[in-house]
Amino acid sequence: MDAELVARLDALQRRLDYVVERQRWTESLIEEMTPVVREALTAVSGPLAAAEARGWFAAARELGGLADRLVEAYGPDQMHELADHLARIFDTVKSFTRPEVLELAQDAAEVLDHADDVEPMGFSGAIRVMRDAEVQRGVAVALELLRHLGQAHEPGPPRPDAAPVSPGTPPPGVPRPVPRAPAPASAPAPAADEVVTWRGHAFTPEGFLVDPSTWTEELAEQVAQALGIALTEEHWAVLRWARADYLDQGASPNVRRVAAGSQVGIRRMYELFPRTPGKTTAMIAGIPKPVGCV
Amino acid sequence: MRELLILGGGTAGTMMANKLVRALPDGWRITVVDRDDRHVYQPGLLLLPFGTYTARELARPRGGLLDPDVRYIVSGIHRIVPDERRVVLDDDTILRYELLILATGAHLHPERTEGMLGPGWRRDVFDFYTLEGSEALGARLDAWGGGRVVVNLVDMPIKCPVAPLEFAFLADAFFEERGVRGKTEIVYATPLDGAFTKPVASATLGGMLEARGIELATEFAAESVDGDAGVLRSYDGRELPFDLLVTVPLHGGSPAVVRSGLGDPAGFVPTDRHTLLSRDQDRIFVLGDATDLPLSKAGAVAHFQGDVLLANVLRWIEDRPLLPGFDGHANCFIETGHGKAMLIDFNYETEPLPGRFPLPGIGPFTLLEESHTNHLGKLAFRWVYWNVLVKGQELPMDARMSMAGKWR
Ligand SMILES: Cc1cc2nc3c(=O)[nH]c(=O)nc-3n(C[C@H](O)[C@H](O)[C@H](O)COP(=O)(O)OP(=O)(O)OC[C@H]3O[C@@H](n4cnc5c(N)ncnc54)[C@H](O)[C@@H]3O)c2cc1C
Repeated sequence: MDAELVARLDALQRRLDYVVERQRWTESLIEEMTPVVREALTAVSGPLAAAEARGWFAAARELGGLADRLVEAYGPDQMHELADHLARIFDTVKSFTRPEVLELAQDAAEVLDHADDVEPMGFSGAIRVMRDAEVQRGVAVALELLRHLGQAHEPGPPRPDAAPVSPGTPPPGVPRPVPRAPAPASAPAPAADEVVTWRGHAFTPEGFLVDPSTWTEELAEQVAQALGIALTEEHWAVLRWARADYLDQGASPNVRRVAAGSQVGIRRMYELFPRTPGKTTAMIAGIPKPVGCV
Repeated sequence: MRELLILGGGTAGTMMANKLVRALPDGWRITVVDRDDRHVYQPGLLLLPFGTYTARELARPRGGLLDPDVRYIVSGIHRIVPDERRVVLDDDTILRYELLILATGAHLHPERTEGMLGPGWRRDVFDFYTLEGSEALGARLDAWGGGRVVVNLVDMPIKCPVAPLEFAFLADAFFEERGVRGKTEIVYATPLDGAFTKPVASATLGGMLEARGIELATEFAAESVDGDAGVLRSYDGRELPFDLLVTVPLHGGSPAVVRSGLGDPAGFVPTDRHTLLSRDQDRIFVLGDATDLPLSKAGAVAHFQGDVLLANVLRWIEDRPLLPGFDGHANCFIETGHGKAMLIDFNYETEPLPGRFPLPGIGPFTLLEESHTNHLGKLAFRWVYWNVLVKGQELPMDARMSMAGKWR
C-alpha cells in the first residue's frame, strides 16, 4: 500500500475513534448546561456576596432555628442516607431568612432529595462502587442544583433589623493587614504590628527583611554575624545569585535552586549556611522567606 | 499552511489543541507531538493504590481525545531550535513552526536522589506519580500487615503539591478500615517548615495530621535512600527508618527543554506570569507544568491559563498587544480520607481562605473544611477531566478568582 493511503486510513480510523468517543461520553449534557450554569453563577454570585458583606448571613446565624425546621421535614433514616453533604448544605441554608432564599432552599432540597439513593460512603468500600454512572449523575445533580440557585431573585435592600456585621470584617481594635503595592506572591505582607525593627531596618518576626530594596551589603554582614556566620567570597557568590534570582523572578529561590544556580551544590550549602540553608541565605540576602509554591 | 506546533499532548497540550482548532483562522494547522499514545488521568494516581480505580480506568489513547482536525505525531521530542523555528524529533524528523506552545509538563527524577532507584525500589520504595509506581504501591498496600510508613516529598515544586499530604490522610483511613492502623506508624516528612506552604492552609492541614496521629517531620531535605537498611536520610543528618517509603521524586522540566537550553536551573521555562509568553522567545508560549511560574503544577491551573492563552494566541496572530490576563488562579480538592475532602482556591496574591465555593455563602463546596460533597466533587472531576477539561470545553467558572464568599 502506498504511504498516502495508509495515512488516509489512519486519519479515518481516528475520526471514527473520535465519533465513538463523543457518543460514549455525553458531552451534549455539558454543552447545554454550561451557558445556563455560567449565567446562574454570574447572576447569583454578586448579590450573595453583597448579602454576605451586609451581614445578613451573620445576622441570620444568630437567629438559627431554621435548619431545625428544615431538618424536621426529613426522617432520621432519610437524613442518614442523604449523608454529610445535605447536612452541610442545610448548615449553610440555615443562614437564610429571606423568602426567596427559602424558596431556593426548598428547591435545593427537592433536587437533592432525588439523590437520596446515594449511599453514605465508607472509604474503601463505597467509592469503588462509584463508577461512571453515579459520578455522571452526581454532576447532573450538581448542575440541576445550580440551575435552581440561578432562579433565585436578586436580594432587595437589607432588612432593618439585620445587624450590619460582616464576618469578613475584623472586630474593632484588630488592625487590618497593610495593603501593599503589587509584590512577589511569595512574601505575605506582615501585619503592621508584626514588624520587628533591628539596626534601623524592619524585619518579620522570623527575621526576613520586610523591604528587600533597603538591603545593603553592610546589613548582610550584620545579619550573618548575628547568625554566627562569617561571610567568605563563597558565601557572597551564593548571596548574589539568590538576590539576583529574586529580583528577576519576584520569588525567593529555595535551597535546591540556589545550589544549582550558584553551582555550589546542596551539600556545600549545608556547610556554608548550616541547618536551614534556604532560609538563612534569604535572611542574609535580604529577600523574603522562600516558600515552595502551592 | 501556517504551523502552530504544540509540544506535549498531556492535560495542557490536549486542551489547548482542542480549544484552538475551533478558534484559529483558516490557513493554520495544529500539530501535537507526544512520546506515546497513552494519556493518563494523573489525579486518579492518588486514589489508585487504595483500590478506587483500576489502572485501565485511568488511561486513554491520546488520539481519541484530540479533535480529528489536529495532526498528532507520536515521537520523542529531541530539541527545539528557536532561532531557526524548528523542532527536531528523536528520529531526526524536523518540524517547522510559526508559533510554538510548550506543554511538555514536568519530568520526574528519582535518579537524582542517591539510592532511590537502588535495592528497595518498587519493593519498599514507591512513587505514586506514575501509573506503574501507583499500581505497584497498590499491591504492596493490599498486603500490608503493619510497620512504619514514611511519606516524603523530596523538594518543591511538585505536581499537585497537596497530593503527598492527601496520600498520608488516605493511608491513615485505609489502614484504619483494614484494622491495621494500630500496628502502623505514619510519618510525613517535608522540606517545608510546616504541613503546607501558605500559612492559613498550613495551620489547618497541620492540625489534621496531628488529629490523625501522623507524625510531622519538617525542613527535612531528603538526601539519600538506603533501601536495604530501610532508612531515609536528610542533608542535615537526620534519619527516618521505614518499612515502606512513599516518595514524590524530584521534579524538573522536560529533558527536551533542558537540551534546548530553554529552561531555568530546574528545567522549567521562564514565562511571563500574566501573558504566558516565554520570557526569552517571542514565538513560544508556555502552558501548564512546564512553566517556572510560582504556582501549583495542576491541571486546574492549566485550565485557567487556557482561557488567557487562547485570547493571547489569537492576538499574537493578529499582531495585537497581548493581554496580561492571568492572575495565578488555582484550586484543588484535598482528599482527607473516610469519604471526605477539602477544597482550596487561591491565586498569586491571595492564599487559600475558608468559605464557600463557587457560590458565596452557599457552596455547595466548602473551602478549607472537610465535607463529603467535596469528595464527590473530586470523584466527579475525572468525568469533567475527560469530557470537559481536555476537550477544551468551557467550565462554568470564571478564570479569574473571586473573593466573594471567602472569609479572612
Ligand atoms: C498524583 C497526582 C495527583 C494530581 N492531582 C491533581 C488534582 O487533583 N487536580 C489538578 O488540577 N491536578 C492534579 N495533578 C496535576 C496534573 O495532573 C498536572 O498538573 C497536569 O497534568 C499538567 O498538565 P501538562 O499538560 O502541563 O503536563 P502533562 O499532562 O504531564 O503532559 C506533558 C506531556 O509532555 C510529554 N513530553 C514531555 N517531554 C517530552 C519529550 N521530550 N518528547 C515527547 N513528549 C514529551 C509527556 O509525555 C506528557 O504527555 C496531579 C498530578 C499527580 C501526579
